[in-house]
Formats: sequence, structure tokens, C-alpha cells
Amino acid sequence: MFIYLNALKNLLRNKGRNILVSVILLIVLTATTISLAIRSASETMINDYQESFGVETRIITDWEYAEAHAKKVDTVNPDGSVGTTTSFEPEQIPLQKYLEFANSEYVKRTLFAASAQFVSDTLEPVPLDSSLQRVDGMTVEELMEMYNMSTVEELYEIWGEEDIKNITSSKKNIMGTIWGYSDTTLMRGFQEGRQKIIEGRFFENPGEVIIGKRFAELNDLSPGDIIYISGGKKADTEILPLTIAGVFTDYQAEANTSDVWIGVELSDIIVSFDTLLGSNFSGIYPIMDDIRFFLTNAEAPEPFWQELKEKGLPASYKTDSDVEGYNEIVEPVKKMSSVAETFGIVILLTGAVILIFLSIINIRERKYEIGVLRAIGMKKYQLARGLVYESLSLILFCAVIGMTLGGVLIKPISGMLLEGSEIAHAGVSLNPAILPLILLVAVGLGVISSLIGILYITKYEPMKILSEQN
Amino acid sequence: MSTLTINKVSYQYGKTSKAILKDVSVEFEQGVLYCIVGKSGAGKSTLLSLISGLDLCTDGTILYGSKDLSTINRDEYRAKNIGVIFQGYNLLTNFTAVENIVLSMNISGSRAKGKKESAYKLLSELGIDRETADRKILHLSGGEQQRVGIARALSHHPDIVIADEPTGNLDGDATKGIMDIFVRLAHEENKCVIIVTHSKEVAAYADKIMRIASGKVEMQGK
Repeated sequence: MFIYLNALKNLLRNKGRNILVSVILLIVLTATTISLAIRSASETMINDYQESFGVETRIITDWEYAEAHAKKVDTVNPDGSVGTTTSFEPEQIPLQKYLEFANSEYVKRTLFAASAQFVSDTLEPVPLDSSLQRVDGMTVEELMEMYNMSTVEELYEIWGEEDIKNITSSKKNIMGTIWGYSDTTLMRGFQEGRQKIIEGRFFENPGEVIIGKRFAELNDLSPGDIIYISGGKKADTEILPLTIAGVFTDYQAEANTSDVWIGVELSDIIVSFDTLLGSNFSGIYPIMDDIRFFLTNAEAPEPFWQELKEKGLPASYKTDSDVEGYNEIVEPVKKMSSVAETFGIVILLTGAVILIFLSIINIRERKYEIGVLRAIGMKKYQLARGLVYESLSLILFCAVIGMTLGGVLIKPISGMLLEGSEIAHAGVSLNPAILPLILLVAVGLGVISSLIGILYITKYEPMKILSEQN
Repeated sequence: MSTLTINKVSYQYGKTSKAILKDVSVEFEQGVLYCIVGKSGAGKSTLLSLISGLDLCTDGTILYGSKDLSTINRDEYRAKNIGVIFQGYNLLTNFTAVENIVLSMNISGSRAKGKKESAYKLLSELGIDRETADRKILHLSGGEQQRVGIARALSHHPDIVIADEPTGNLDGDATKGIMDIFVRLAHEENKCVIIVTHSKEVAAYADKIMRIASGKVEMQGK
């Protein structure tokens, strides 16, 4: 106990030197606290970002491949000359395939959008002001007659075989389209302010739907009512009940009711992607442009693409990953982390060197004291303990103040380092988990500074120290 | 049995240098005041450093009772069994006088309560009052520092007290005061007191005088 008490008194006895050492320790430990806190917060930010966003990846048509594999057809121009036209129809990727693609270790999160046509025996569609003729449910023969074509091949060439099959497999009384979105960010009309909920709310639970204002008025519907629909394909016989969660208006459609295509949308209804998927309608089509895969990290796009190819992604498609966008957000944080780390290491090493230097001076100054104590019988280990206690007491005192100072300075410093970054608002604070690490650094510095003294004590006998002094 | 037995002790600094002590044999007993005299460089201080366990002889043995100093824990020996009054006092200058004494008591392993009070008492017996005892060493006169040095050497009640030129910086009155203390320690407290001195005045207080010349020791009774 007396060794510890004597060590504490020695701190006061050698005030001048210890104030100097304290200032250095405070700088080192404050910088270490800031550096470690920023590093830890950066890791958390990056992890959080990866957790919630990741690298946005889409499946897109490979137009280079399309150009190389386009179908070439010779055509006769009106002037009699012969020309060549090219056409390429990418193979459609069914929704099921997309779902299979999403089931990957590289995928953190997905955005899905799909649509299907629907019919209803109990609802009235919004009447159209146009002379648009709907082709749903027509036979091939009816379509050939309508378009004045003599062969099926001619019809396929103009419309595409897939589209003709879609038309002919549909029911005749298609009412509108049911859209399914996995996230409201995909609902651009609402994002851009073109559409707005005017009654009730967005769908939240499975089986909920939002419908347009005109459709609601026509059918005298309001939130809480249930509508009954079924799939638009001839094969769909099941009735799907949907509870109205909200009613929306479409400002653009209201402003242009004469626009044929916008007018068509007035009877459309919107549900969550899961509700649509759960309907088991036979004609649910993915909306390729709205399907997003958010990958775990910047290295994932390549292996993910390889995986998709193995899972049967047609050769006419490729993936497009927004690594730049990801890096744009993550890089400033990584940079901040790296700057803070380098800064911390430099300060730590400089501090350690200065501490070693001061310890050497300190021991030279205290050579006489050590010699006297050894001469009157103090054992080497007692002296060493005294020096360690002195260092540790001073360092722990500085560590507490350094951590407090660091905690106060983290926010403004990280704010400066993250200026302009999209995730700057996330903020950096002192994570209690790093406190033991700071203490460890502090103890390490204490050991370094006491080690010099201990080596000195071990090396010399009291007689030698005293005779040198005298 | 003698308190200290020096048996055929030789000492030389390095292997090639001339021996400072050659085959020295001498015994020290409790209750006797010894003075070691001799010219400068004769080996007086060397003999003291060997006796106090600060250094080891190159040949021969030094026994404390029956224990060979070269084999026992000499830190323990210095802390408990011997009190050394150094020529240059060797006090801790940024400590107060009383702190020097208490620290020495602590180093000796004393578990007694009221060490500080004992230290004040001891200092008072040596003519250092409380106010002076609370001053830092650098603020004390040479004579006061010498007394603090003596108090420190006595603080842990050692069997042997050794002093290297204890009155070198003192005037006649102060010398008498200090020497009276050593005489009392030897004769009333039964300590073995060994003093190295140049002074005939100091040597006059000794019960036995040891003269060192040419590395040899000659013991003279009074």
C-alpha cells in the first residue's frame, strides 16, 4: 500500500514533469478516442448501409448481344430496291425466375414490382371517353381480321408471338390492371406527386388495396369496403377479396381525361407485391425495370451475375450494378475511417516516442532517487511497482479526461470529415464498446513509459547509481 | 558470536587494478563504537560499502551473525539489519524530512501504527522540531540534513549503524552533539556503531579504532 501511496505523492512531488507528460497523454488519448470512435462508427455506418441498402443491381437487356443476334429480314422498298431490316425480341423472364434469382447469398434485399389484369362481376370499370378498342380475349382469327392480315405468321411478326398469346389467353371483360409493389418507393406516381392518397391510407397488410377516386365514386366504394376480383386469364377462376385501405387521386389523369392510355389507368388498383403474388393469378408479369437486387457489398456483382447465368438467365440479359453509387456513399465514410485511423496511429506512435524520450529523461533525473531507495533496502520489484503505479495512475486519469474530451470532439470532427456525404446525418458518437480498447491503449502507453525505468532499475546496482550521481 | 565477521576479505575494482583491501580479517561486536581511520583512498568507504551490502568482496567472506552476506538477500539486510549514514546524506530531496523517515520505516516492512508520529519523535530526539521535520530536505541546513540521515538510519532499529564521515560538514558543537548520539547508541542501546572518519576529534569517541593502510587493517584498542 505504501508503494501506491508513495507513487501518488510522487506525482505531486514532480508536478512540472507530470503536467508535461499529462498534456502529451491527453493529446494522444483524446486523438485515440476520436480515431477509434470514428473507426467504429464508420464500420457501423457501412454495415448499416450494407444492411439496409447494398449495391443496387438490375437485370437489363444486353443490346450488344441483341445486335449480334438480331433477326435480319430482306425487304423491298417502295422504289423497288431491296433493303434489310433487323429485329430482336428478348426472351421474357418469368416472375418465378426473378424470385429464384433473389434467393441468393449475395442478395440483401429486393424490390419487386409486377402486374396482372383483373376482371370483376361486381364492379363497374371507369368508362372511357375514347374510341379505344380493346383486344383482350380476341381469338387469332379475330385479330387477323381486325388487322387485315392473311397469315398468323404475319400477325406474329407485327405483334410478337408472346403478345398475341397474352391477348388470346385473356378474358374479354378485362377491367383494369392490378399492380403489386414491394415498396412504396417504386410507386413513382406517388413519389413524384402525380398521385396522392385522398382518403384512408396506403395498404399495409396482406389483402389490402388502394383504388382510384373515379373508380371508387363509380362503385360507391370507400376505405374498409371489400371488392372481389379474379385474374384476367381465361384459366383464372378463383375470386380474390381485397379490402380497400385507401383511395387515391391521379392529378395527371384528371387533367387529361381524353388521353386514352391514362384513361385506361383509372380503373387500375394497387396492392403490395406479396398480395399480388398470393393471388395465384396465372398471368402475373414482372416489371423488369422496377426489379432491384441490393447486393451485400461492392465485390458481389460479379459472382451474382455468374450465379444468375447458372440459374438460367438468358444470354440476351446482363446485370447492371450501381457500384459507383454505392461507393459514392460508402467511400467518404471509408475515407473518414482511414484518415481517422492514420491520424490515430501517427499520434499514438509520436506520443509513444515522446513518452519514451520523457521516460529516459525522467529516469536520468530520478537516478539519484532510485539509487537512494535501493541503498536503503527497497527491492527492485518494489521500485518497479512504484514506477508502474505512477504511470498507470497518471495515464488512467488522463484516459478519463481524454475519453470525455474525445467524446465531445467526435461530432464536430466527424462532421468536418464527412461533409457532403449522404450519410453524414447518421452522426458519430462514442461507442461504449471501444472504451476498453482506449483503456488498453492507455495501459500500453503506461507500460511503455514505465518499462524504461524498470530496465534501468534492473540493470544497475545502487552503489553504481549513487557513485555515478556523486 | 560477533555481529559482523570479516574474514580474509579482498577487494579490487576490475581484475587488473590494484587491490584496495587485501586479506582483511576483523570482527565487530554489539555495544561497541568503532572508528575506521586512514588516508584518502585507503579503502575505508569501500569497507563500509561491503559491510552495508552495497557491494560484494572479490575474495573472502563477510558474515552477519552466521549468515554470509553474499548469499542472503542484501536488500532485506539493508532494509532491516543495518542503518547507513552516507557521506553525502543521500536523502530524497523532494521529500520532507519526516517523509524520508517514514519511507525508510515502510521499506523495512514495519507494520507498526503511527509511523509518522514515531518519525517526529525520533527527529525530535535528534534536535529536529516538527516544523523543520515538515520541510523539504533542500530547505534544511547541512547539520539538519545530517541529523535526518541519522534518524533514517535508526528508524528501523538496526543492529548495526554505519556512518561515512558523519561530521564532515559540521562545526565543533554540532560534531559533539552527533558523536554523543553515536556513543549513546553503542553504549545505551547496544548497537554496533562503525564510523569512517578522518577526524581525530571523532576518533577520540571510539571504543576501538581500525587503521587502514596499504589494503591492510590494524585494530587498536583505546
